[in-house]
Amino acid sequence: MTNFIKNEKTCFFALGAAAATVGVKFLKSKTFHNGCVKTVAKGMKIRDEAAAELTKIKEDAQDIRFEEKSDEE
Amino acid sequence: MKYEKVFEHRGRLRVRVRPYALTKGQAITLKKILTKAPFVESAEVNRTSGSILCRCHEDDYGKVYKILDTVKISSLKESELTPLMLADERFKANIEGKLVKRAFTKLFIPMPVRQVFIALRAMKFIAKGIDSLLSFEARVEMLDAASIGISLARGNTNTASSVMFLLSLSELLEDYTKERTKLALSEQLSLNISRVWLLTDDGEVNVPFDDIKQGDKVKVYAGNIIPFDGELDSGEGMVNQSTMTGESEPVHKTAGDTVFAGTTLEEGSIVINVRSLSSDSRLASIIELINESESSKAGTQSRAERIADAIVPYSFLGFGLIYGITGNITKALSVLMVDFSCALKLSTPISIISAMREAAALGATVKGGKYLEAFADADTIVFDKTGTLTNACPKVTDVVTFGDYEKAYVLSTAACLEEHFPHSVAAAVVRKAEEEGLTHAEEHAEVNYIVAHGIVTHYYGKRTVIGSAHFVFEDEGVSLSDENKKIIEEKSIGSSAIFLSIGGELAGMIVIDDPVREEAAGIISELRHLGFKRICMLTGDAEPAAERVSDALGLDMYQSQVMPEHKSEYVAALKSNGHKVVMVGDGINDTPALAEANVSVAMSDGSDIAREVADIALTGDSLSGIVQLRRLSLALMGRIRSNYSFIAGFNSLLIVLGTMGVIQPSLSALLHNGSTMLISANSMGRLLKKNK
Repeated sequence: MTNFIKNEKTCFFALGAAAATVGVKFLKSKTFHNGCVKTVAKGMKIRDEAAAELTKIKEDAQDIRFEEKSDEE
Repeated sequence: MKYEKVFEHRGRLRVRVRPYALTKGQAITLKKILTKAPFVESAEVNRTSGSILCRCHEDDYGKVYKILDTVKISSLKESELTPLMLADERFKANIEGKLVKRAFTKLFIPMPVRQVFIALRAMKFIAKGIDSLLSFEARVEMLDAASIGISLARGNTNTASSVMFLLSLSELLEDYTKERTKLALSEQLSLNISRVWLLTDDGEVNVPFDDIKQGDKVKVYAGNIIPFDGELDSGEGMVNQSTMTGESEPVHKTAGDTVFAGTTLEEGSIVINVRSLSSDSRLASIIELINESESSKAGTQSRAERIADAIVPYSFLGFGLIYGITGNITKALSVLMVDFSCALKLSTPISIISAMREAAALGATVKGGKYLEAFADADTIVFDKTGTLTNACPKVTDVVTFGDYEKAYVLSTAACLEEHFPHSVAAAVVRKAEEEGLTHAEEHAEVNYIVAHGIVTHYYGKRTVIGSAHFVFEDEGVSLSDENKKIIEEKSIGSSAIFLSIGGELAGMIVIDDPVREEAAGIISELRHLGFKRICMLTGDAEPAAERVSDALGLDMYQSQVMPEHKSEYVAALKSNGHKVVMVGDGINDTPALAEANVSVAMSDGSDIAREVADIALTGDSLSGIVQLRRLSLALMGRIRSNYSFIAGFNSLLIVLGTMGVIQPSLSALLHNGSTMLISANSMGRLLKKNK
């Protein structure tokens, strides 16, 4: 019995189980939830801003190309 | 609205508001507001960058800014997103989702768990493969299943997972491409606005389609498309509902029956009570048309699919051989990873559907892929003269009267009858009456159109007929004195003429000059250049007029004084001599010949029924549409051929490199699927250069 408790593997198992319990609690916690929401929201904002910037670059390039083309004629 | 001026040069003007300041619906509304202004050629509103692009004359910049100044973003209404936009968004979200999911699992899910997921996903593919094996059909699914299954069995989960990922991406792309091309086509086709006859207290008025309100009474004459859904109020007729039901026999409709927008009135005339303005049933019939055209696949397309499946057993054979010879399963696997078939299966329909879309943009509604193929194949083209080779608007050059009738009376009576029927000659008579300032009351009884002959009605109680010489003098038995005969011959030399008789007596002759379209001669020589060996003309005109036109245009053959039934016989004779025939026509009387030809083209101002029967309906008012179509169809066949060679060449190379061990199966899968996507994307592009 003592052998069983002292066994390394059992120890790791117990630690693992504890970590999992805490982990799940943490995952369920408000702090974690809010943190994730904020991160994802930030990600979305960056994505939108990047998309806007890329579109602007593309449009400006098209305008310049139009200017060159129409001046060539 | 606050905005920043960004660009202004030679009629191109761009301003920006804050990115995402407009909603998607508002962006559409703003675009509509701008395009509605008469001085704006085109406008684009991009919500992402907040940019508003306008094309207009340089002098009109100020007017555009004025519109933008007065518009308030908060009061812009939300327009509905079109199905096309929704499809685009769905696709974007799908791709993004797939990529994010893949990145997430790769980063955060530990390998053993992932292996379980991958195996589960693989099951779906393997099940499909077994399904095709059990039905004794060698299909592409078997190749997918084998390559995934073998990779998995060898513990190569990463290869299996990338193959599945790529397969799902190409599936997504395939669905999206098909949906998008279909929707784009249906959007282009649904913008088919015409004028309709509104029944008011003062009689019939010709008004634009858009002016009709719910509950209005609209009169429809034979040969026209019924413009709205509604109930039949009065009159009766035979309605061809094949666009709705597929039934080609016309249905008899009387008061109280329901009629649908997009169906055609073949005989009689009816008044409908407009029930719904939305073009739901019309739109549905267009979508039906496109779906149908997909099933009326081009020969090339079904050939591509047959080839694709036929290759499958050889892939397995190659796999077995290479495994047998080298004993190296990695090398053998590269044969399975590369299947020619999916590229063939995907690129051909995409090429065809996008060519149909391009045709629509060029002003031609093509009703099926096979017609484009047949158009490229054709070596003979037959034109019905009036309304196709000759100017779309023939002119009345003379009005000759007989007996005691006055010129004005003859012309206004003729116009009163002719205005109900969609034919270029009829339009000429009506126009002439308008030019002369002649108005008329609708005093006649029911108007009957006798196909290819003329119109019969009772006018102030007298039987009144208008039509060709054959119709008036032979069928109707109107007497003709020698003296009058001489006058007719003298006055109508080199032109065509129609005759009006009232109460069995000849009242007048309307001489119509039908000048050849300015562009016709150029078009004919261009068509010859593009591979048409035989260019013919059919006409109901007398010999001298026909000869004159034929000589002027340099045609190969012509036939004068042709009756409609003979038109189709003429086409049938050409076909039985082994020619592939394109028939171009515009009137109700051309429909039998249009139906007989290998491919038929209806002109833009032709009657609705001709446009309904024809395989290709032109929407632009020019013969150049035919040249464009020929170019487009030839370019399409060229693209399909070059796709074939590229697919065969590139994939063979992959197999060779794979069996030599130069590239790994996962890389050959990547290259193979990548090239398939590339070639599909390339097949969506324009076939013709813009300036052509």
